[in-house]
Amino acid sequence: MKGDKHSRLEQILGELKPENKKKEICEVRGLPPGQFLDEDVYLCEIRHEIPREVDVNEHKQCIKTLSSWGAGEPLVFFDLETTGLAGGTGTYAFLAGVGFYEKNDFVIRQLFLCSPRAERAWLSRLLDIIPPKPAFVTYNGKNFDLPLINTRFLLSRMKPIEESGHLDLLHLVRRLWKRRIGSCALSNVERHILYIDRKTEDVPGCIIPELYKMFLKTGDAAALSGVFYHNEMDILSLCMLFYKVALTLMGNSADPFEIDRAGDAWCDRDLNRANRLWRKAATLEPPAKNAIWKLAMENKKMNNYYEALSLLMKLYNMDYKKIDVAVEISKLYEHKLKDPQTALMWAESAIKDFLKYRPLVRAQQSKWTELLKRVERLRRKVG
Amino acid sequence: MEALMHKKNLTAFLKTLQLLPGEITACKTMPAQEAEFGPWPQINPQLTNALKELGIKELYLHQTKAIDMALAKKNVVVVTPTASGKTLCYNIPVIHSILENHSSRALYIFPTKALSQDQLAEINAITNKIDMPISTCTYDGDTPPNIRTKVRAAGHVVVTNPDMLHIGILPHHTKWIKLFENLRYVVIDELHTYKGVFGSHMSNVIRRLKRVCSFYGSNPTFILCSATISNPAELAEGLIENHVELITNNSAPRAEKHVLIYNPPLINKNLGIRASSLAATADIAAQAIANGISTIVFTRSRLNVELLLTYIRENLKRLRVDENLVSGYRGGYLPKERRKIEKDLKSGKILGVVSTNALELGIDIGSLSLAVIHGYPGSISSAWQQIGRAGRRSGHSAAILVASSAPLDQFIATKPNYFFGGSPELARINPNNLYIYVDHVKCSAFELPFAQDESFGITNPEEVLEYLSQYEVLHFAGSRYFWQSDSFPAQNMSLRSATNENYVIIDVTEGHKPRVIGEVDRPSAPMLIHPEAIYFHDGKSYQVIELDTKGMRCYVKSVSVDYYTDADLATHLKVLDIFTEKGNWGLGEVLLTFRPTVYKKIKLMTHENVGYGHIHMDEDEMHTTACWIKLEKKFTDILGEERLSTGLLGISHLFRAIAPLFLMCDRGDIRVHSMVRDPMFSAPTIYIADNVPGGVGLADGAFALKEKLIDAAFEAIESCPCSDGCPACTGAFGATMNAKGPTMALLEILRSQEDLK
Repeated sequence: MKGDKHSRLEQILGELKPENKKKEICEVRGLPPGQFLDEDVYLCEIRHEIPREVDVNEHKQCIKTLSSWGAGEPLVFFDLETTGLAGGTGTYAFLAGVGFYEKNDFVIRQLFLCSPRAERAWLSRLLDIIPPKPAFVTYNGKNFDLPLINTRFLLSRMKPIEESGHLDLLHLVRRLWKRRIGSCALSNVERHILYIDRKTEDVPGCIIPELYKMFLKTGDAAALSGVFYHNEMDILSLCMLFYKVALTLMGNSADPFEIDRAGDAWCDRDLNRANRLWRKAATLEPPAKNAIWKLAMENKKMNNYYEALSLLMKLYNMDYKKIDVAVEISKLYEHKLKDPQTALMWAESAIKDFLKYRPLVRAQQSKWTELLKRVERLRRKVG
Repeated sequence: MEALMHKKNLTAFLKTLQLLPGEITACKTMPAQEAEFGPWPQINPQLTNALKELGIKELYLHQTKAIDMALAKKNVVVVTPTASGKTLCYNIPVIHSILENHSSRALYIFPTKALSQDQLAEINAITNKIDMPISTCTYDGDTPPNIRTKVRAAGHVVVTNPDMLHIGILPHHTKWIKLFENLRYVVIDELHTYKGVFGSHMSNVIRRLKRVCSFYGSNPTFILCSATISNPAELAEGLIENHVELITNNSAPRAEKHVLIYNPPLINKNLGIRASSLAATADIAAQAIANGISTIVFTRSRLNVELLLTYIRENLKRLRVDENLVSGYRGGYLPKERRKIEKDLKSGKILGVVSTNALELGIDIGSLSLAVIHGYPGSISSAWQQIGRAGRRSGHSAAILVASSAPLDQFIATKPNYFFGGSPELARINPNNLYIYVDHVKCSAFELPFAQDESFGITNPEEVLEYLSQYEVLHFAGSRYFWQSDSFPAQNMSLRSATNENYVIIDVTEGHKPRVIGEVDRPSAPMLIHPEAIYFHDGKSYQVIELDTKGMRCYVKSVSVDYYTDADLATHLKVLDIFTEKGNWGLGEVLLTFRPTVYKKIKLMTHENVGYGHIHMDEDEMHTTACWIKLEKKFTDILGEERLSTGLLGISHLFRAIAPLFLMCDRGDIRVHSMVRDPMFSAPTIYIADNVPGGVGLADGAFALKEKLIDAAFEAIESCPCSDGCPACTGAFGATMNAKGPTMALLEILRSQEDLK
C-alpha cells in the first residue's frame, strides 16, 4: 500500500501525460538556412540592400536628432526572444536579433540557442556578432532585453556587453503617439504609425515561450519559423521606427498633432526647438489647439502679453477649454494689463460656462471655488 | 486621592491579591542571579572604543561565548530571555568582520517588518561611533525603488524578512552579487517563531540561500537567537542543516521574581462558568498602577487590548487616579507613537501599557515591575517571554497569569506543574513536507539550474526534478535541469501557509467600491467563510454574502450583529498508509474529507445558541499525516454504543484542548477526529491530524508523546470541578450529554489497555 514518491507527487500535483514519461534526446532539424558556430549555437544572416530613399546625410541627421535620447554609432538594433516575461534569474533568451549597417547592406543576424546547456557558448558568440561598442536601439530594452541579457552574462560569470549608448524607442513612442493609438505594443505601432501588416506566418509574442518549449522536447525547429520571422520583423520595424521617430522629432510631418507632441518631447531638452514645433503645429490647418495653448503660456512667461492674449482669444473662439482659457485671459487683464474691468468680464463669462455644465462644478470643486474668489476680488477692485 | 497617599510597594501589593474572590493556584519565586562576565573578545579596537563610549565596558559570559564562536566561524544559537543583550551577540562579530574587511557583508533576517526597524536603530547606535562608513539598511516591501539599487550594491548589513528574501532577493540574486560574494554572516533572530509551516518554508528558503551563496563562492556563518524552547539546537540544525553550537546559560543579572497564577472564581459550578478574566485582569492592573507599580498587560487580540484599556481607565477613574497613566501599545501603532510611549514609560509619565503578544518579539520597552497576562498565550515559550517583560536588574518583579475559561487555561491553572515543570514543548518543522518542498525546489531551479547529482540542502531532489521535467516545468539537458516555464514560481507562494490557494475577502458594503480586506487559506474556508458566516476583521463584523469557490473570492458586507457563527463540519477520515505502529498507537498518511453542514449562531458574551442555518458547500479534501489510538473492542463492549460515542467526543475535545500545549502549536494547527468504528481497524479510533496538507510533524509529535497525552487528558478532566462535564473539559456538546463519566471510563480503558501490553 505504500506508494512511491512519484505517485504521491502525481497525487498532489497532478498526473503526468503518458507521452511525457519517456525521455529521449532529439536531433535538431528544420532550422532556417544558416550555420552552426558551436554545438547548439546557430547563426542565420539576412542581408537587405539599403533602399535608395535613405540618404547618408539624412541618416546622420537622424542619429544627431536622437543623440540626447541615447542614439549613436554604430547603431545596433537589438531584440531578444525569451522563455518568458517573468524576469529574474529563471528566464533566458534563446534567440537574439541584431541589426546593423555594413557598407550598402542592412544586416540582420539571428543567433539561436538550441539548448540551454550551451548558453555560455551562445553568449560568447553573441559578443562576437555584435559590432564593438554598440549604440543599441531597442523597444523596451531598457527594462527588459538589456537587463535580461546582462543577468545571463553574470550567471555565466562573464563580462556584460560594453555599450556606447542605448535608445529605447518605447519611451518616445509613448510621448508621441500614446494618446492617439492607445496601446504602444510594437504590433500596434506598426499598424497605426508605420502602416505595416505582418504576414500570416508571424506568431504573437505571448506564445513564443511555449513554442520554444515544444521545440526543446521534439527538436523540430520548423515550428519556430514563425518566431524567426517575428524576430526579423521586430528588427526591421525597429529600424523603420527609428527614422519615423527621428523625422517626427524634426517636425517633418504634415500632422499638426504629431508636431505638437514632438514639441512636448523636446520641451525639457531644448525649449527653443519645442517652441518652433508648437508654432508650426499652431499654424497648420487644422491647428493643434494644445500647441496654441502651450505657446500662449510660453509667451506669457516671456512677458509677451499681447501675443499671449491673441493666442488665447483664438483658442476661445475655437471653443477650446473655454473655462480655463477665460480664466487665463482674466488673469492677464488683471495682473499684467491692469484692466480689472475686462478681467471681471472674462471671469464672469467663465462662471457662466461653468454653470452650463453643472456636473463640472462638483467634479472640479477647487477650480470652482478659486474662480468664485477671483470674481469676488475683482468686483471689490472695480468697486 | 486616597489611593495615592497610601501607596503599597510590590510585595505589599502582591499580598493584597489574596483578598481577591478567585484562587491563586500557584506562586513561584525565581531566585535572583548575579551577573557573570566573560573575557573581552578579540575584536577590532575601533569597535571596542565604540562600545565603551556607549557604556558597554564588560560583556556577559554568554555574550562572549557566542561572539568567540561566531568569530571562529562556528554556527551558533543563543538562547536567552528578553533583555539579556542578545543583539550584541551578533552585532559585535558582524561589525568586527566589516572593520577587518570592508567588503564583508551580513544578512539579518527578522520574522516581521516592525522588528527590522528596531534592530536597525540598535546597530546604528554602534556604527555611528565608528569612523569607517558602515552602511546598514532594511530591504523589505516598504523600501522605495530608487533606494533599492543602492542597498543592493552598498549595504554592508541588509536587514530583511523571510518573505522578501524568498520573493525579492533570491530570484534576483544577480542584482545582489556584492552581497552574495562577500556574505560573511547570516543572522536569524526570533528563531522560535520558525516552527510549523512557517519554519518548514524557512528551512527551504535557507537551502536556496545556501545554494546561491555557494554559486558565488561564499559560505556564511549563521548566528541564531531564540527564546526559551526545549529544542533550540535541534530547531536551528533543522533550519540550517549544519552543526550548531548551543549557548543557553544566561549570565545577565536578574533580581528575584514572583510568578503567580490567578483563577477567577467559579460562578456556576455545574456549567463550569467562571467570572470574567478580562474584568479580573483590569482590576489587578488598575490596582497596581494606582499603587505606582509600573505594569504591562498582555492579551491575545487587538480587540481585547482596546477592551482592557477601557476597563482599566474606568477602574482608575473610580480609584481617583489619572486615567491617562495607562496606554495601549500594539501592532498597528506607528513607530513614532511607539517611540513616544516607550519614552513616557521610561520617564514615568505613564505607568502602564496594554499590549498584544506582538510585543513579546524583542521590542525594547525597558523594564517594568509587573506583568499581568490575560489568558495563557498559547505556548509556554511565549508565556515566559511575557513574564520576562517584567524584571529589573535590581529590585524584584512579579508576573500574574490570569486564567480565562478556555480549556487550556483551566488546565494550566489547575495543574500549574505542567507550566512550571520542565518545558515539554518542541518547535517542529518538516522541511520535506512534499507540498512545501516541491514549491521550493521549483524556486531554487528558477534561481540556478540543478545539476543532475546536486543536492538540495541535505536532500536528494532528483525524483522531484525528474517529475518536474516530465511535468514540463523544467527542461533536462546536458545533465542539468533548467527552468523552462513562463512563470515566476515565488510569486504566488506564501511562506505562512502550506498551500498557495487563499480566498480573497472582498468587502462590498459599498457596492461601487469593493475593497480587499483580507485572506483566508483554503483549509479554513469551510469553517470561517461559508455563506452567511460572520467574519471578524479589525474589530468589525462582516457577513459572507457569496463564496466563489472557482475564483477563490469571498464577498462580505459589513453588518452589526451580536452573534458569531460556528460551523459544524462533517468530517471523514481514511487511513491511506501506515508509517509505523506501536501497540494501539499508529502513525500514517490519511485523507480527510470535510463538508460544512450547519452553522450555529452564538451570542457574543453569553455564548447562547440563538439559531442555526444550513450550509451548501462542496466537499473539500486534504492529504495529511495523522496519529491515532485504537480502543480494543473487548474493552469498549462493556460501555455500550451510546456511552462509547459520548466518551469519544469527550476525549476528542480534551485532546483538542491539551495537545497544543505539548505540541507547541495553535489550536487550529491540529484536527482531532474520532470514529466509533474505523473501517480499516474495525475498532473505535481517535485521530490527531496535522491540519496542513502533507503535515508539518505535529502528528509525529503526538505519536512520540502517546501516553503522556492520555495522562494529561485524564488529569484535566479529573481536576475539573464540574460534575457531569462542562465546556472547559468535555466541550459544549459533552456538557449537554453528561459526558464526564463515559469520557473518564474510556480514558481509563486507554490507560489500562496500554499497561496490559
